[in-house]
Amino acid sequence: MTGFMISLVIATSTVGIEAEEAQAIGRKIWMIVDAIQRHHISNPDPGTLWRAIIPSVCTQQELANPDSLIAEFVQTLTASECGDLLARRFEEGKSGDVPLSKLLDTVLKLLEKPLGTMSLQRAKDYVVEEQLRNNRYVGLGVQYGIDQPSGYSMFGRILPGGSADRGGLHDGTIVKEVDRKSTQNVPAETVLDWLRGPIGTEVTLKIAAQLPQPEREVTLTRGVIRTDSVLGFRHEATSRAISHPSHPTIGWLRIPMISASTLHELRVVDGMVRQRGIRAMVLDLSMTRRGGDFHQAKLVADGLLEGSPIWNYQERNSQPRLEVADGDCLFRGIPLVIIVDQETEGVQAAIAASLQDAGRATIVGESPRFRGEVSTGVVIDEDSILNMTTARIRRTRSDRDWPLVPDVRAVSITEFAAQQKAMAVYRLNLINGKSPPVSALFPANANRGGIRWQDLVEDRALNTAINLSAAGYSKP
Amino acid sequence: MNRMSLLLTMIVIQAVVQTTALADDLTVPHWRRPVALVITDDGRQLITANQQSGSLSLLDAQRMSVRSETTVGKRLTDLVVSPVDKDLLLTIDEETHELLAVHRDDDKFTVIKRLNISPYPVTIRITADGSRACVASLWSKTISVVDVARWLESNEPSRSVVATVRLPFSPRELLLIDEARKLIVADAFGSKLAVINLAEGIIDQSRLESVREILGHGIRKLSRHPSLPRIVMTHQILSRGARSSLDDVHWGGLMVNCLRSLALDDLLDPKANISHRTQLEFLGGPERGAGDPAGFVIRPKGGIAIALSGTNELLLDDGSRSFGIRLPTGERPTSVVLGSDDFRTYVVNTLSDSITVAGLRDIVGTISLGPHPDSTPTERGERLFHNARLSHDGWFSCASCHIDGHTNGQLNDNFTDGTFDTPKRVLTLRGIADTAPYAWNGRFETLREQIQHSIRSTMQGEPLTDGQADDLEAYLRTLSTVPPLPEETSAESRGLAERGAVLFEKLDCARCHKGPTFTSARVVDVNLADERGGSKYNPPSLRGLSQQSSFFHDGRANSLEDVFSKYQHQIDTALTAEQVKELVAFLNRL
Repeated sequence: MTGFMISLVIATSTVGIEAEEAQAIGRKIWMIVDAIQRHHISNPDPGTLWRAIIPSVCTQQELANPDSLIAEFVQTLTASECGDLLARRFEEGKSGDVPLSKLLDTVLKLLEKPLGTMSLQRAKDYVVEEQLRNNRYVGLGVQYGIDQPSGYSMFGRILPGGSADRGGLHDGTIVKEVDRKSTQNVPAETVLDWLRGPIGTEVTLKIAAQLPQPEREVTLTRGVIRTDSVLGFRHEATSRAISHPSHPTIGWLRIPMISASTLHELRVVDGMVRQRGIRAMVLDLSMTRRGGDFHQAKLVADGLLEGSPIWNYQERNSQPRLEVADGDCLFRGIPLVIIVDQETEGVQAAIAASLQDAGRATIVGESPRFRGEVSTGVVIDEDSILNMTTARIRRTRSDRDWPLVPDVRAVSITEFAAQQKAMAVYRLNLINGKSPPVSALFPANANRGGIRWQDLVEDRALNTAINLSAAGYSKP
Repeated sequence: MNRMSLLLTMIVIQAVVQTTALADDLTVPHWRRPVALVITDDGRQLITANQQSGSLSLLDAQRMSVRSETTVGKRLTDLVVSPVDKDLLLTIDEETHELLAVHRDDDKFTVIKRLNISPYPVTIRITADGSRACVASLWSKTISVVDVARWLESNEPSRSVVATVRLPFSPRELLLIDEARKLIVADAFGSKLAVINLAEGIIDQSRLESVREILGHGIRKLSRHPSLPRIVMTHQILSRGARSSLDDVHWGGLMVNCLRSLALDDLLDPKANISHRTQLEFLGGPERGAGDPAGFVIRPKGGIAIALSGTNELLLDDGSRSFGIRLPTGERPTSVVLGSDDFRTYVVNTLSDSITVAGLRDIVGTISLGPHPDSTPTERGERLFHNARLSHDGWFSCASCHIDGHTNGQLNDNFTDGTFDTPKRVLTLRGIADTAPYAWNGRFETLREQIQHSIRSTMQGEPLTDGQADDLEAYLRTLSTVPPLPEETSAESRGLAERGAVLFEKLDCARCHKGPTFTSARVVDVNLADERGGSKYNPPSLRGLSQQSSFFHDGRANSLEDVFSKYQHQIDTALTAEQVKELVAFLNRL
């Protein structure tokens, strides 16, 4: 009897905890639905949304005729009401087959079908991405990794000029503690949260002994870390080279991310282009890991175009707005070839398309996946941001639509070579002594020294682009 | 002695008898506001034209001191030396609307002749042979061509002005291309460039060969490259697509400061595309804005020196285009003149009454024009108005968009209306004292609120202290309304305007545009939506409309005629062509 009572208590307690979790998840789902109603470009009504979600929260029997259940969810006026409803259904065993731990993911996947991109992101990560997009990342200026043997955190690379550099740290520094918390075997995401914070605040690190220095503590102040978004091809150790080593009059730039500084960086390059007699330019927008901001992309496209339409930008409940470039342009008189591929993010694809539509550039490579949706982060609660489509970009030529179709198709490389290229690209160093973009995804033991021509010798897209560039400027 | 010199000698003798040259007391503290500088006596002496005191200051370049100062007018705006007689100076007075011929005898300046010229003259240039002078009159939107010899020798001044060419914009900078007998004229506020043919024969309106546009505004200096067939200018570009956000301001997305060069041939050929061979250099950068680039010199052996009016600096380049050196100057450096030795540069600091003397890489010294009193709040406010350091990183000052307190006519996407991607036309600040509320949507009840908002939000600067806000407000309150085009006040347009006034009342325009300020405190939906559907605006004042080139919040109407004919602004039935003409005549007189 006692055993039975204990089991019942345990079972009841477990159910109680899960009901609490169901309530929390129910609240979150309600807030997601509410955010979508307010911000999604397609302006969906709540009935449509709950109809899409309902398979995740109902029984098979209810699924056959879900209208009344849909109405019940639609009628929840607050997140709490929805949470209570879901918790009640959970207690009654009517919550369906999806485990609680997977419910949110399932809901988002179900919503993606009618609505396109739908993802939840930690608010903290969103803040970091926004900082990177605006090139005002606040941190210590380190490339994070994990020292595999010990399980402690490691700063694989120290960015020059950053707080860690000023604090005397070196590449390969092993960090045993952050603010008196051990980093051993702690997930990277957690340690990064400890390391990040508002500008001007301090963090104390216990640094492992590295001969001749003993184990020590250092306190660093978080500051703005600037990174470059426009990268060049390096073939000299010390000078900033923007031209292809085999074709010195062809410029080659990679723009893996469109940030607030991209236009400014392109203006700097524009000056160098004229000084160095560059006569054609390859803009490599392939394999972009991070996209960027569409407003900044508009400014970049404006900078590259002269007086042409850029795109039609349509937000919810509004007429499309035609964006038009002003009357000046960078790289004037210089033929442009743009490389894209399936990994080209939306902002870069949109820029490439606008240049193609204006006849300003030849596009080489493979079609990006971008279909014109502009995704924006919307606050759900203090912890979460929902990324969803809040606007659409339409091309300015009526005979062209998404996806962007290259003028010259050139499948870049084999899968293995693609991996190699990805590794090489993200090891890319800027020639003027600055370091590559900060990314927590860089492998700690990545090969340094910058991309070499040999790394890309198999790259058909790049070869095609180079040949087209050479042909473009050599025409009378 | 050539004919010209003999003539001048005779005139001087006559003038000395008739005119008393006033030698000023250099010890009396007063503000001068130098705006132009010329070099004479093989570089040994400098002469400045002073706007506030209406005087000419004679400086000893070697000793870096003032020798004399002579009041010759009320508000001098420019100065040239005759290329055929180093003792003959031509200066212009914006207040009396005169061209003055001034004879210099050692330290003394004597006005020997005055000529009425199109109102509000601001710039003068003289041809290489000294025969003709061209004068730009700002608010008259005209270029006057003066036969200098005929003027000096005749007693019929009206025949001295051989031509008056009207322009579709307010002119300021002028550049004579002597061998081609052409005059290039730059827009004072916007971005237009006109070319006028000055070849022999009758100069009439048909001599206006072309009017074209570059991207940007605020062309502050035009010059010819000493060794290349190119025209070089400083100006700014306010991007309508960028936002007045910290990121866009920081990275130079919103406002850029430029040095632009155009191919001379393209500019002189009316059919050529002037953009085709344009070259643009961006001055300054993140954390080092180069607000308000103004006068500059290009050294014949290479290198450029550019005055940054907004940051009080001289930006130097040694020919490598690195622009790596910045030297401190006095306040609001507006003009730079290269010394006769091609080594020294003289920088005119308009708001600190001084001349900075610079070498290739350093400051040699500063010449003070004389003692001045402590600044009043208005004077302090004027300095703030021209101070680019009020904006984030020194990218631009209030004067960048509000040139001369007016408007550059561009669109700016700021957050005043609570939205981005809704750029709106920069409004004039002239006559702003009595036109509350402020902003397109009438959001700010007081000028003080508007000022603080503009500094913090639009310019992304630090909030002003109370004292600074007081001073800036004091200055803004002194800005008078822009004068109407003089031709609009002629007798023949009076009749049209009178009928237009009646129509204005009949159409009840005064409901929103009530005299004498021709605005009101209302916020009205005028059915002109911006990009986010906002259509409620506080009616802007109609004063000075004849000096405006675009209308409505987004500049969609390019003429007042379009406001009524194309957009039928706030009228139920279409007006006849004559009615439009009458209404426009009335409005142009405001």
